[in-house]
Amino acid sequence: MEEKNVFFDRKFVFLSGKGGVGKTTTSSSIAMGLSKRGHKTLLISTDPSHSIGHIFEKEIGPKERQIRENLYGIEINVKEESRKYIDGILKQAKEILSPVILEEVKDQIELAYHSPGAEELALFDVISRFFAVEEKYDNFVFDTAPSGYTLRLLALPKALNNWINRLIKTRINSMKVEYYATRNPDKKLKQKLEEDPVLKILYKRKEQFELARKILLNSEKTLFMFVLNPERLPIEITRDSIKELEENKIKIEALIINKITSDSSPRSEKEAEYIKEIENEFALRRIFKLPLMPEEVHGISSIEKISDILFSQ
Amino acid sequence: MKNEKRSFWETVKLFFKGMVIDTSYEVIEAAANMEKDNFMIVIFSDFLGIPNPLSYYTIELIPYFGNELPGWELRMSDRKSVLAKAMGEVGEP
Repeated sequence: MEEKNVFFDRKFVFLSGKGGVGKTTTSSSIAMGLSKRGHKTLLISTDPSHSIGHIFEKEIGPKERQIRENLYGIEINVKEESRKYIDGILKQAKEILSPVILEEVKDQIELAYHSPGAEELALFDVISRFFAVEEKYDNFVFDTAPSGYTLRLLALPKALNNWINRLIKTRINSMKVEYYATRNPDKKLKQKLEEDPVLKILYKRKEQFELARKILLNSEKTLFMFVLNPERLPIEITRDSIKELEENKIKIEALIINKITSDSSPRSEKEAEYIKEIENEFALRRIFKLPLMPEEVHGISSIEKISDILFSQ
Repeated sequence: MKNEKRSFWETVKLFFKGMVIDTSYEVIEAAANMEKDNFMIVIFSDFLGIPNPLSYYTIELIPYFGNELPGWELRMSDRKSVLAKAMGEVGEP
C-alpha cells in the first residue's frame, strides 16, 4: 500500500481549504511522512502566524531551516514579501524620476499594493520562486495553494501568455521605431534591446508564467488536495471550489477529511452522514480521513502520529 | 571660384536632405511616439480610468516611463478622433 501512496511521486503538493480546517497540521504531517521515508522535503508555510514554528517547537522564519533529518521548513509572510517588492519599485522610481513626477506615480505604485488581486499575485510570486529550484529537494509541500484566480489566469493560455507576448512585441517594435528615428544612435539596435530594463522585466515575467504553467498544470508532478471538516459548510465550499478549478483543468485528486470525532455523540453521528456524502460525491478521488486529536496538535511526536495515520491509508 | 562651386553643391545637398531625410525622420519620430504611447496605456491605464487587473505586475515598469508621463497624459486627453488622426497622417483631401 505504501508504495502506492500518492504523495511520493509528486514533487509539489498543495493544500487548499478554508482557514481553520487544518491545512498546516496536515501539510506538516505529509512533509514529516515523506522525510521519514527518506525523501528530502521542504515544508513551505505562508501562514502569517508562523504556525509551523509552533508545531515543530522551533524557530523557523523566512530562511530554509532544518527541522529534523530530511525535513526542512520555511515560513514566508506574503504581505511582507509584497511590501519588499513595492519598496523596491519605489526605490528604483526615486533614482530615475524627477521629484514632481515621483509624487504623481508614488500613489499609483502604493495603490497597487492594495489593489484587488495583489495579494494573490504576491502569493503566486512566492510559490513560483520554488519552481526555479526544484532540484534542491525531492518534495515540496505547501500549506496553501495558488488562488483560484491565479490558477485560472495560468490555465487560460490566452490570458497571461498572450498578454505578456503582446507587451514584449509592442516594446520591441517601439524601440525599433525609436532607433530608426534617432539620427546618430550611440549603440546598435541589438545591443539596445539586450540592455533594455523594461524588456528584462517582461522576459522575467514570461519565464515565470511559463514555468508555473508547466508545473501547476502537470498532474504527474503536482498534487492539489483539499482539506475539509465533516460539516455542512466546508462540504459546500469544497464542492464549489473543485468544480471551479476542474473547469480550468486543475485536477483535485485527493481530499483529507480532518477532525473527525469518533465518540457516539449526536455530533459524531451527523459527521458520519457527512463523510458518507463526501465519499459518494467525490468517489473518483483519493480520500484520507484523520481523527480529531484528543489534544492540541503540538510538537514533533503529535505530528508523527498524524503522519502515520495518513501514510497507512 | 572653387568656394562658390562647393557652396552650390552644398546647397543642392541640403535641399535634398531637407526634402527627403528630414521629413522622413519626422514621420518616423511621430510613429515612435505613437508606439510608446500605446505601450504606456497598458502601464498607466489607471490614469485614464481603465482598471488593470495585473497592475501589481505592471507597476514594476513605472520607473522607466514616468518621466514621459506628463506629455503622455496631455496627448491622451487631447487625442483627436480616430478619423481625424488618420486624416492627419495621409493629409487632408
